Amino acid sequence: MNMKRSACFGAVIITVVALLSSSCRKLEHDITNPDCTESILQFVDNGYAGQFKKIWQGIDVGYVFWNWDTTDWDAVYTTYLPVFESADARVCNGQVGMSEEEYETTWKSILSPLMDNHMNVSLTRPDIGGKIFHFAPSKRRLQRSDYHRRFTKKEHLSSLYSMIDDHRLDAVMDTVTVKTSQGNDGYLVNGIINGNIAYLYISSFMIYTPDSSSADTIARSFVLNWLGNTFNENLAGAILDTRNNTGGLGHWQQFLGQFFCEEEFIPYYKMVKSDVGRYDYAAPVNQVIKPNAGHRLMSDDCPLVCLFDLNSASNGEEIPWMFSYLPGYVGIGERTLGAMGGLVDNQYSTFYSGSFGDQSLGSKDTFTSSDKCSYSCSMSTFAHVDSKTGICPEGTGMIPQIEVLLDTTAMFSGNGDNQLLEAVKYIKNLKNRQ
Amino acid sequence: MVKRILIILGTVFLVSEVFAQSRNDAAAGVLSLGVNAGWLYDTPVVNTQYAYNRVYSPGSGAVLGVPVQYDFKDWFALFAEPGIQYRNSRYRLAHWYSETRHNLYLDIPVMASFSFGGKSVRGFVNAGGYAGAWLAGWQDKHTDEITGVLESAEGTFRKEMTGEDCRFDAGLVAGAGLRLFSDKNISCVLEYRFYYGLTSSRTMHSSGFSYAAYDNLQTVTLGIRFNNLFKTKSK
Repeated sequence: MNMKRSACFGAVIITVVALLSSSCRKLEHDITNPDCTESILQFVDNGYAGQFKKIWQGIDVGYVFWNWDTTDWDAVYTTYLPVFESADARVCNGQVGMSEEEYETTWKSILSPLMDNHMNVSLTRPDIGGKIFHFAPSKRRLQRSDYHRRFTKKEHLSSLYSMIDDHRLDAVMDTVTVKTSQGNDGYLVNGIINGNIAYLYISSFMIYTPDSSSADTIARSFVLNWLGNTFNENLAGAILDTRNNTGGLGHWQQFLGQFFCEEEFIPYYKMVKSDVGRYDYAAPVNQVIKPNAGHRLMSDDCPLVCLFDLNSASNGEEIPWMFSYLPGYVGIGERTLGAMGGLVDNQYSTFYSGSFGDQSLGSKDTFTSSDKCSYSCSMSTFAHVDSKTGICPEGTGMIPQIEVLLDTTAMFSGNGDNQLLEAVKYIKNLKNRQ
Repeated sequence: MVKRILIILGTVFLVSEVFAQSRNDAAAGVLSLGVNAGWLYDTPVVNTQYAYNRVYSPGSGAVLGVPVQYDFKDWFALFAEPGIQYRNSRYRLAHWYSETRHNLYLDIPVMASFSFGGKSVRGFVNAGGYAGAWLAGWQDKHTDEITGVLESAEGTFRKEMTGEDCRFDAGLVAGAGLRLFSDKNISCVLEYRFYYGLTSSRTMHSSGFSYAAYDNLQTVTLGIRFNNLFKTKSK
């Protein structure tokens, strides 16, 4: 082969290889930051479709329940992108992109099938601004046939003391009020029923104040006093009441669990996303509960009854879940909300999951020029998975062994609490049989 | 479109040129067979965009192949090497998570081989493409403790990859090396090769977004080649 021909041969090979390599790899910038990095003006430019893509991809990459959620998220993209692109086309023609009703209905259809009951999405129409729309898959609870609103502190305590006053309940009760981190009043009730049933009610685990008069310390002391005063050799059973409790800080699981186990145990593990793939999860993190030296073991003869209702959520249902791993556990009440994923605020760049967007939108009704971007999405940062079965109870909740629906007429008028009476009756009947 | 036409025309030219040459070559028709083994270095190529603390790092592995070469001329041959690649790479997310990714691939590079030099020592350059499939994989995951968020994090967890991760693997490959002939029938081969992956090693999404990850591989292998095993043409 002569030199000319060799050079021609080599040149053709190099050209073919270069053309192939330049045309086949796709490393375009498809992964965009769903967090607030763009100005409001850019969001307006991006329009309805841009807003949809940001939220769709933020959930696609950061949603922790893809291992269990059966929603066809790709179909959501292909179905709804044309809807938002049509809205953008209308804006270009000088019309309103979407009416309030259409915008609300569309986003409700997109988000309501998702199983994350901690999810809250708030957004405003890119071309109009003004009203902020709020969406939460957990609103599916409103469709439950046994749905009832949360009872108030006044209704609860009035019911409790009215039952004591008219001797439906033989009990001595004490109450303490503490501030929650949301600025609301939280409260705890402890006492002894029939002289041998220990009772504890906790309205919230969001008990935290950074100052020296810590509400958390007050609440813990209250629980320790209850344990010291009521857990004696005459104990017939205990009732831990987390009805209406929408959760809070996770350390309460260790604090309460340590008194009822003799060796460490793992009621569930946490699954966190590790990479952009839907099924990319980090190594599971076990929730380990360690015993306290002064623990008291419950048993079938001396049970620990966990009382919960459909408004028990997050830590308010994870604590009964934890106790379900211990001897003597009995669950009474209503199936809980099923919002057991864990929330970690303002850590998007650490986990690339959880919350993104302007979180302040979640508590507002009107969009203003000071808002960082046109949407916020708050969702679980990690999934709670049962350590025995591998089942994720998100969206399902804690199911009671004995279902007792709340007599709302009595409770909301402050005249009685049939769920508590059933729990007491269960322990009394057990004692009578012995 | 212009690119595609150029690629097709170039490929047709190369193939016709090879066959035109081989028809008139007295040294053509030599088939050799052997074994290659060596070191592999996998560099994942991912555009992490805004996620600056998602870090994909290279890792060492191994490669084992059975090279088959058919000489059309003393300076030109076609070369294929069915083989197993054991690829490793590392991934780290912020300060709390690390992962080592292990994957086994069956790949068949097919290359044009151009050789030069004397009779006992010959240099060569190879260029072509490869195709294959992912066979198996596992990931060693380590989640660190984050106070107040991920308490009591356990150490390493091994995740076996399942069938859903099966993927086609293909790309371009080029290499260079030396071939030492101890006698007419046996030779030793030292080769450096570069694989440029064109298929994503991560599942792509169907919705129009791409989260692609490609592999750049480098291998250094040492092999033995049995020459003139099936000489199909006599001089």
